Amino acid sequence: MKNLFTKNVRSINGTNFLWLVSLVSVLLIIIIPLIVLFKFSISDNSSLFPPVPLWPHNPDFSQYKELLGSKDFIMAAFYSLEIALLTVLLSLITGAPVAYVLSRLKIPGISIIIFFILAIRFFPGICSVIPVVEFFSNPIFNLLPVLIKVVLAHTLLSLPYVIFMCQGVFDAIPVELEEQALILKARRFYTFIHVVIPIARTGIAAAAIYVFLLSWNEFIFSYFLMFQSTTVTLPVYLFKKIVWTPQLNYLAAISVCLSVPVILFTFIIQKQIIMGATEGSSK
Amino acid sequence: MPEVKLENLVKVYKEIDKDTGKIRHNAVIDNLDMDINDGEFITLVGESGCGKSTVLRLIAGLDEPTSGNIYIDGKLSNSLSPKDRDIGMVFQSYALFPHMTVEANIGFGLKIKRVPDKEKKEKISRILSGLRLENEAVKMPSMISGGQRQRVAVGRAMATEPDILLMDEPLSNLDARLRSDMRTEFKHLHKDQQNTIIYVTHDQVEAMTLGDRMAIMNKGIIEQFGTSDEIYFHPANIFVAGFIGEPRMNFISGEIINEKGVVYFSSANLKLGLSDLPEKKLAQLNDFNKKKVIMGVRPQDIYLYDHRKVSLFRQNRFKMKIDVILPLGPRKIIVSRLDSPDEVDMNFHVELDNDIICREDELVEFGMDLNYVHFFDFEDKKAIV
Amino acid sequence: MNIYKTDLIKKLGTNLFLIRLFFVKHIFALCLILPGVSYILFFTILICFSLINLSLSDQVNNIGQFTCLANYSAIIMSPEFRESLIRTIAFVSIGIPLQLFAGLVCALIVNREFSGRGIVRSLFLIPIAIPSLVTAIIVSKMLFQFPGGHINDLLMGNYFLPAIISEPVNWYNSQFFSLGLALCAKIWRDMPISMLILLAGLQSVPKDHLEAAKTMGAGSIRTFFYIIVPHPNFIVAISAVLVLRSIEIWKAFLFPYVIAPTYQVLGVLIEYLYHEARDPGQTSALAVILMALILIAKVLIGFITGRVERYLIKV
Ligand SMILES: Nc1ncnc2c1ncn2[C@@H]1O[C@H](COP(=O)(O)OP(=O)(O)OP(=O)(O)O)[C@@H](O)[C@H]1O
Ligand SMILES: [Mg+2]
Repeated sequence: MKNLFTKNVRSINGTNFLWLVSLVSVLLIIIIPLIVLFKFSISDNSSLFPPVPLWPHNPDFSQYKELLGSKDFIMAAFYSLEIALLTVLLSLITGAPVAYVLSRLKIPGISIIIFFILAIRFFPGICSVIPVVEFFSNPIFNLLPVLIKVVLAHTLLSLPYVIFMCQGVFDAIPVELEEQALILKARRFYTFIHVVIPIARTGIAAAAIYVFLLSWNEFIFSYFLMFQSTTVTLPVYLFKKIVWTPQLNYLAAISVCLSVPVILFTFIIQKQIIMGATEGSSK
Repeated sequence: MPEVKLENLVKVYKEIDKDTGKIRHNAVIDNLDMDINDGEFITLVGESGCGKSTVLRLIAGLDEPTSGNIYIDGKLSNSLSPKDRDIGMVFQSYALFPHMTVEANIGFGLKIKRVPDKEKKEKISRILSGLRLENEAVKMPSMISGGQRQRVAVGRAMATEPDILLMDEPLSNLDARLRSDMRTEFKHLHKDQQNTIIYVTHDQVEAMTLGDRMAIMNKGIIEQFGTSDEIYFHPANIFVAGFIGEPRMNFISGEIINEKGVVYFSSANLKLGLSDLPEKKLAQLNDFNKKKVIMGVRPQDIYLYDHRKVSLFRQNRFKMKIDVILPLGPRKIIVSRLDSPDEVDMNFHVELDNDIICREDELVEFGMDLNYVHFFDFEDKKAIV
Repeated sequence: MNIYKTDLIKKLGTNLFLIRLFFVKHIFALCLILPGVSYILFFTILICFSLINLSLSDQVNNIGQFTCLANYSAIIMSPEFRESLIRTIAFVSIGIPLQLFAGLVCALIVNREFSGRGIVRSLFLIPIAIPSLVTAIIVSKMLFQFPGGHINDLLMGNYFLPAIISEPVNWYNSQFFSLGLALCAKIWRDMPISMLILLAGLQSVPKDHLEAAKTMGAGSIRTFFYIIVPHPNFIVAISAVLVLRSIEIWKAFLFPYVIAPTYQVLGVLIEYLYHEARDPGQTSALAVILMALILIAKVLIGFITGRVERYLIKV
């Protein structure tokens, strides 16, 4: 850590000092909650009661073992995984082609479509969830398995992101490549599969990861749609656990399991997340 | 092998004006006619942005003309899809498939055509060796140099042996040596396959040496279309005259005057007697009596007066002060300033052998051969022939 | 007259032909775009239509009967609504400046050239990588638990600091503390996004402006206030943070729901009306009101930042 900052610390003056102090304190504010979470997840039961020790008396991984043995948790994790993967699949299949067309065809009325795609992003989740739940509880759609309902809802939430991220990816591919393929007598579909998709692969993978995370983390829609069902996704499982068994080390272990894939994946697609965050800034 | 005929071709792009926000129509190709014969090698030159690439795109079918007709092999093909046209194209930006090796790029068209593997391999290796790319066969486009990429793009277009080959500045990124090798390669290719080639270039030497005929484009129209001799020796207008030739042709604006039966060209800097001109040309110039014309003469067609036989240039002499001298190895270029306000170009160039002695700021007398002097109408800038 | 008519028909004919041509030409595109766009469009329309429809009808006794604005008036009259509206407005009006401040501090930290900058920026992204629910649990069950919790222990002198209080604080008995904690958790989580937008704004201020200021002897702080802050690019970034993030804070549901369930904000009240009171009609009415409030706030903030921008450009 020390040689990291020597360059700036060499000339200690007011602003440099202020900068260093704020850097350290922001880092602490970000890191401490995570350390606390991890600490709780490896705490033995005796370390849970006040005064809570800064480090557990007998740290162990028993909570994780218990979790892996718990049928409910495994089921919830698989359910989450299943829903996330299906959401990725469905939203890519429907979203990527839209992105492709938006990027390639400059039809006059196309900005209206973009407006609608954007509009849905501005509805508060807690507001739009009500009509969606009501819609899925009408006699016909009520027959659908909950899993499908949740996948459909998550797809709706992730489509705008898929479309915008993929559009950026396709925009970066020169049209000339497709024109060249066309001149060499390749059919459009062939070109799409053999030229466009392979080049867009990494970008699309990033969009897929983003959607996966969105679905993996999503709480409101899952919670409302699975209000009465027994098999639930991980976040809803965690939420129900808060209400019923406030066994802190167990909660912490679930939280860690829920967060670790997200943190890993977020680091992988950092660049895209940065682009996504600043994209809205021009509006 | 097909011929290509372009008839009253117009391409208008709609643009949104940045200042007013209104839609503006920008005619990039403006009523262009062109007749390209079977198996002809055509070169297309013009300034940047004059619409050369657009013409190629229209012929390829990548864009549809706003109006006018494109006939390929006698068939109206305005909205025929590119894949039904049997063409090959080398894009200005190369457009190599970044996820395929050099080999796969060149073989792409053959794969689509379902050419048997063995034949495909042979063909690819033949093209690779023709383009001096044997060692790059399994590399990705990102791993080879710009010039190599360009050659891969050429190879890919040639691989399918299309009837019509469109090339957009295919040699712009090569060094002089490789470029002349490639030119020869193109000539060979054309001789073997007898296909129709339309070749866009910025390099006028390339345009003159390669093409059976060359077309000079300017702002969406074709200024002149003909063999390189026609264009060099009989430019149709000031644009063509100034465009072809290095250094640029000198233009001096002045008047035709007829003094007691002798026709003169008179301007602020010089007065030339034109009686040495052939009868026919003289008669035509006579029609421009008291009217403004522009005289054009190439820097190569002017000599220092002392060094030529006196009898030849009785009246075709004029004096000028040398401003600067630009040495060019075996030759040198002398630049003088013209000082009348309505000139096309204030600099007057003369190209001389290097061993001719002259100094800057010296007043010297030039002479020129009237057979190589061009006259243009001041109003419509067309040649007077 | 007749000529006019045939002309019209001809024109119509060619127009129809052109439209058909358009469809034939872009059939591939239309096929690609149809599933995704119609999906989004369907749900967008469904959400708008169904919210309004539900909010205008009785959903408890005579299900489906049109009641005009009865749901709205019931909501607006209820004391819960008024309380939670005040809470939400306080939440938003304290949250926006805090959010801006947090984002700005982080952006300024990362905007410097130093070795390890990439790593620090990645670390600063961590909060968005933590699921909101987990953040809420860390805050409410681990740091600010009652009884116990690290903060209470810290304040009571169980760790390195001397004791400040003798009794543990029950954070959740106090409206101020519990909503404050929810707000802090929300800001902690959203900080990276504000930071990234502001960072982009900072970096779009041309380098030569800053260098010019330096040559004139301005220090870092003065450069910041006189050059960066009034620069149009930076103002755009700030207004983007204000608009986008304020919408986020209006929408806040999960943090207040988990951390401060007793002191409902509007989002939590919606959940309560739906799941506990089981009245989709009033729920939808409240949802419509919330959306209207967000829209008004957005327009207002846009108006103010636009004014400020224009004022600064004039100066
Ligand atoms: N898709 C388009 N939309 C609008 N304008 C265009 C489009 N394509 C080309 N143009 C305009 O048409 C004109 C001619 O372009 P073109 O690419 O044919 O030039 P060029 O002769 O090939 O130039 P260069 O030698 O630089 O390649 C340019 O002014 C360009 O701005
Ligand atoms: Mg071009």
